This record gives sequence, C-alpha cells and structure tokens, in this order.
Amino acid sequence: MNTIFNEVKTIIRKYAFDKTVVDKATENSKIIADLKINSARVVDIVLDIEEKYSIDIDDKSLEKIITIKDAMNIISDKTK
Amino acid sequence: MNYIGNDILFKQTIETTFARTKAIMHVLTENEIYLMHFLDTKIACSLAWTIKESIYKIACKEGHNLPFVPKYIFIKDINFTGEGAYRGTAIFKNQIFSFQSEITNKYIFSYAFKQHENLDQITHYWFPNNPEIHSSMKNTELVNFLISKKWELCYSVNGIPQIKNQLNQMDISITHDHDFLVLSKLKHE
Repeated sequence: MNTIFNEVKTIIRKYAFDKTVVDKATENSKIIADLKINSARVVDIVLDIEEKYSIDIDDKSLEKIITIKDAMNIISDKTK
Repeated sequence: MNYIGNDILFKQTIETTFARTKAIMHVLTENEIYLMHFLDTKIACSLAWTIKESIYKIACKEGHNLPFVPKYIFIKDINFTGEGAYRGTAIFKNQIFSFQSEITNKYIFSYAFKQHENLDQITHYWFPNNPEIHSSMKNTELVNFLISKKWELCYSVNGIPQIKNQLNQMDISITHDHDFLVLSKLKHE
C-alpha cells in the first residue's frame, strides 16, 4: 500500500499548484480541500490512475474518492 | 437564500484535460452526447463540466456533501441563444436548475441558478488571475474591488463564500482557472 500511496501522490503532484503541500500529504489528506487541487484537475488525476493501473473508475467509485486513501482503496479493489 | 453557482475553464484546460480521450466518459451521459452532438467533443465535454460544476456548487451550499460526480447531474436541454451563448436546464437530486453558458476562443463560462426567471439578474465581475496564487483572497484586483464596494468576503464553516453587508449576507460564487477569476452575484442584493 505504501507503493500505491507514493504513486498516487506522484500523480496528484503533477496537477498541484503547491507541490510542497502534496509532498507533506498523508493518506487522510483530502485531495481537493487539503491539497488545493483545482476540481478540473481531478479529471486528469482520475484518468492518470486509470491508465497507470489499467482500471476503469465508475461513477459509484468516483463518489467515494475524497482522500488519498479513498483513491488507494479503489485502486486496490479494482486490481485484485 | 437563493444560491448561485459558476465555473470557468480556460482554453489551456479545455485543450489538455478535456481533450483526453476518456474524459468524455466521466463527464457526459449518452443522452448528453447526443444533445450536444453539434459541438466538438472537447468543447461539449468542457461546457458540460462547467454547467455541472456550477450546479454542484449550489447543491453543496444546500448541504450536499459528497464528491462531484458529473454524470449524476443530467443536462435536460440546451439551446443556442446567439454569439456563443447557451441556455438550458439540468436536473440534480430531483431538482431543476437553469444555466447560462458562454463559449469563447479563450474560455467557457457557465453559471446556474434555481429560479429561472432570475437568471438574467445575475451579474459577473471579471478579474485577471495569477494561476500560481490559489487563494481568491490573494488576488489583488479582487481584494481592491471588494474594498471599493465595502464588501467583506467571508466563508462559512463549510467553505461557502458570501459577502457581508450591513443588512445581510449575499450569496456569491467565485471561480478561477488560469488567466481569469469571476465573481457572480444577484444584481439587486
């Protein structure tokens, strides 16, 4: 899970205005509220995750993604 | 209070994020793809995003606290009203919202409101934006404008921006992307 955490952070970092905030992020960091990610960039983050892990993130899964840990859980569920 | 929602996408975002092949799958339903077939795919995707994000902002002000899922908001109808302008209605959580949108060669901007008859009563203030400054309160032009109007910008506990005046609080919506920041409010408030 630590690897997935770092990989997700790397993806998010690409789209963050303030990369230092992402560098200090924990699993419980909220992607939009804490990491100050512009909502449109969430589209890029979701697409990058789908491409990297060869998964499809459906709307029900999207609705659950608030924190980095939520994204990690979705990835784990879909790559089992 | 009658809440307003707005959203803007700058051309760079349209040409990158919403030009990605699979972006449309996360933003538009099949019916909406048909509804907006007359538009280029990335334009339709971007337009739908701004419409839905505007509506989502209103819903959040009314207490909705789940993440934004574009395909849970359904654009019911959309009509071209001339000079890059579009108007229509959309449904979210069994409620109807009216929206107005503008497509230019630099941006796509939308705003939404529940009371259709008041859609034309919403006014917009445009400011240059520095994309490296994420906080609206660090936008010098915006701050100077607020001072000139004697408006005090405040945020509710769940992050909703409002303007305090002597009598009451006015709802506003703020959006920014790359070069633009827009503040929308009801004219008569």
